Amino acid sequence: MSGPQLKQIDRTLWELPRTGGMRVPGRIYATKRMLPDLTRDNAAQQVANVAHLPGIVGYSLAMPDIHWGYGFPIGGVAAFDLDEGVISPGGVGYDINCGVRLLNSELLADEVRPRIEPLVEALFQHVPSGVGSRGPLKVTGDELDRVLVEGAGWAVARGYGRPADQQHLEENGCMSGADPGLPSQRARQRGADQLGTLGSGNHFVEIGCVDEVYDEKAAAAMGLQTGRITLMIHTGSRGFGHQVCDDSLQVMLRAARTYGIALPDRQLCCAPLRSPEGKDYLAAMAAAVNFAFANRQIITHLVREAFASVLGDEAARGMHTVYEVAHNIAKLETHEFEGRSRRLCVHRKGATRAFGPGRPEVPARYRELGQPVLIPGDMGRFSYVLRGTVRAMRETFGSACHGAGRLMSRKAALKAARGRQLIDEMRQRGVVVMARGRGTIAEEMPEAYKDVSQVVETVHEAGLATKVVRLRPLGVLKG
Amino acid sequence: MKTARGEWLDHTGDAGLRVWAATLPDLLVTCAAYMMRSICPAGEIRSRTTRQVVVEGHDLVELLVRWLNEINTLGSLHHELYMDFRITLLDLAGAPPHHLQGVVRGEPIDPERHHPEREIKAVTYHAANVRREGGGWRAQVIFDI
Repeated sequence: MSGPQLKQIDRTLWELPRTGGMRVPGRIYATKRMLPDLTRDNAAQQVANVAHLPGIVGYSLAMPDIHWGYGFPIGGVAAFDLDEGVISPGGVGYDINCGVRLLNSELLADEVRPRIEPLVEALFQHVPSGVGSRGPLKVTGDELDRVLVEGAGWAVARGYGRPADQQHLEENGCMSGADPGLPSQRARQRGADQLGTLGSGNHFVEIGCVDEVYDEKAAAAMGLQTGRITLMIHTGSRGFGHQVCDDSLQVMLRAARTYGIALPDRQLCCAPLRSPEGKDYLAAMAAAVNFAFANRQIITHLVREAFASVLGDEAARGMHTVYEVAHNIAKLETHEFEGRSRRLCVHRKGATRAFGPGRPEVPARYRELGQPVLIPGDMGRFSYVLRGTVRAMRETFGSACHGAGRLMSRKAALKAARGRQLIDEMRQRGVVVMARGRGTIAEEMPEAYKDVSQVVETVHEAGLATKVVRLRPLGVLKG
Repeated sequence: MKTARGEWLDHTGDAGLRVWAATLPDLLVTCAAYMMRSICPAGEIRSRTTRQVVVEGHDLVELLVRWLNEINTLGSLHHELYMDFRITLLDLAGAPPHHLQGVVRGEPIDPERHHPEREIKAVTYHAANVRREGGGWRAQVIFDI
C-alpha cells in the first residue's frame, strides 16, 4: 500500500503507528482478508490525518466498514478532550444525523411476500424521494424553531407517529443544546419543505424480514421474531443539515487560521471546543440533528400510512419502533479513559454508537442488554441488528460500524451495471426495488458494497457489538 | 489547450471530478457543467430562469468549492436545474478574500420532462486543488453524494 503502514495487533485490529504530526496512533478494525480493500484507497491515510487534530484522545479509530470519505474516513471515530480538543464539521459530515430507524411488526413474511410489489409501490407514493422532492408540510418561522429544538417530539405532537416511537430513539429523538437562531436563513429555507423526504443516493426505506436469530433474549426484547416483517428507514437532515455544515466550514476555515491549527486536509477544518466558533457549531449541529430526528419520525408515519393503504390499519398499528441510531454526529459523552471518568466530544462519521449494558443513555427496555446497533447492508443481501458491549466502551468510546461500506466507486459501479437489468436481477433474488433516480440502482447495486456479513462478523469477533438478528430484504424504495 | 474537458475519478465513497481548461473562467464553468450533468442530463434542461452567483474565497480552491456549492445550493433551494454558466467577475488581485461572480441559467424541475439521476449533498474541500498544467489550468473536487 502507499501511505501509512499497518501493524497487526490481533486478528481484527491493526495499528497505524504515530508518524510526522500524528498526535496519537490510528487503529483500524478489520480482518486480514478485508485489508486489501481498505488499503487500496486513501482511507488509511485519512485515519492518520484525523490523528493530527489537537486534543485527540487515545486513537484515531476506524470501523471495519471504513472507506475513503472526505476529511474523516467513512467509518471514522475520534474523541476529543473538552479543554484541549477541537470540533470538526468534517468529522460529522454534510448529512448531519444521517441515521437508521428499525420498525418491527406482527406481520408474517410468508403472508406479506405476495403483496411486496404493491407495498413498495405504496412506499413510492407515500414517501417523497429523489432530487427536488418536497415533503408533506412546509415549516417556517417559530414552528421551524420548535422542530430544531424538539426533534422527533415535534413530529409526534403533531400526529406523526406515537409517543412510544420517541422513547426508543437515540437521545430520545431530541438533542439538547440546539440553538435555532444559529442556522442561516438559507439553511432554514432549504429545510422548510424537506421534512418527511428521503433524499437520494444511499438513502432508502426497506421492507425486510427476520431471517435468523442469534441472541434470543435480546431479539425478544426488541420484538424481533423469525419470519416477521421489519422496516428500515435510512435518511438524515436533508438540505438543512447540508447547509449547516457548509456554513460552518466557512467559519471553521477561518477559525483554523485564527487558532493556528495545522490541517493535513482542509476538510478537517475545526475550532477548539471551548471557542465561540466551536460552541456555535455544536449548537447549530444539534439543531440539524433534531431536524433529522423529526424527518425520520415523519417518514415513519408515512411508512405506516403506506402499509395501512395496502394491508389495512391493523397492520400499521402493529408496527413499532425498535430503535433509531445516528451515524453522522458529534456528541459530548462521559467515558472511562485511562482509569478516570472524562467528558469527551466523540465524532462518529459513518459509525454507530454501540453503548454497552448499564449506560443511562440507553432506553430502559434495552439497558441491561446494551444498545441496539442497526447495520444496514446493501439492497440485495442482509442487514443486521447487534447490541453494544462493555468492550466497545473500553476500546472505541462505545462505537461500532454503520453499514457495509462501499467497495466500488460510483463510476466503477455504473460501468459494471452497463447492459444489465438490475431490477430484474434483484427480483430474481427475491427483492422488489423501486428508485426515483435513474442512476441510483446501478450505483447502489449489491456488488458496489462490501459484504456486510464480513463487516458484522469482524465487529462481532472484535467484541464491539454482538449479533442479535439478521434481516433479509424483500422490497426497497431508493431515493 | 483549446477545449475544456473533464473526467470522473474513482472515489470509493463519493464522486471525484478532474477538469482541464485554458483559462480560469473556463475551468470554473466546465466544473459547474460537469457537476450539473451528473445531476441531470443537460439536454433535458432549458434556459428559462437566471440566478446570480456571488462568492468569495481565501484562494482559488475556496473560490472553486464555493462557486460549485453555491450553484448546487441554488438548485436545492429553488428546485431548479441549470445548464448555462458564465463568469462575470473574477478578482484575484490584492489580499484575500478574492471575489467571484457569475450567472447561471436553467429552469424549475419538471417531473414530466426532467429525470434527475442523483442529488449532490455538497462539494467538499477534501483533495480539492486548482493548479496550472500544460499552459492551462487543472482543477479537482470531490462531491459528497
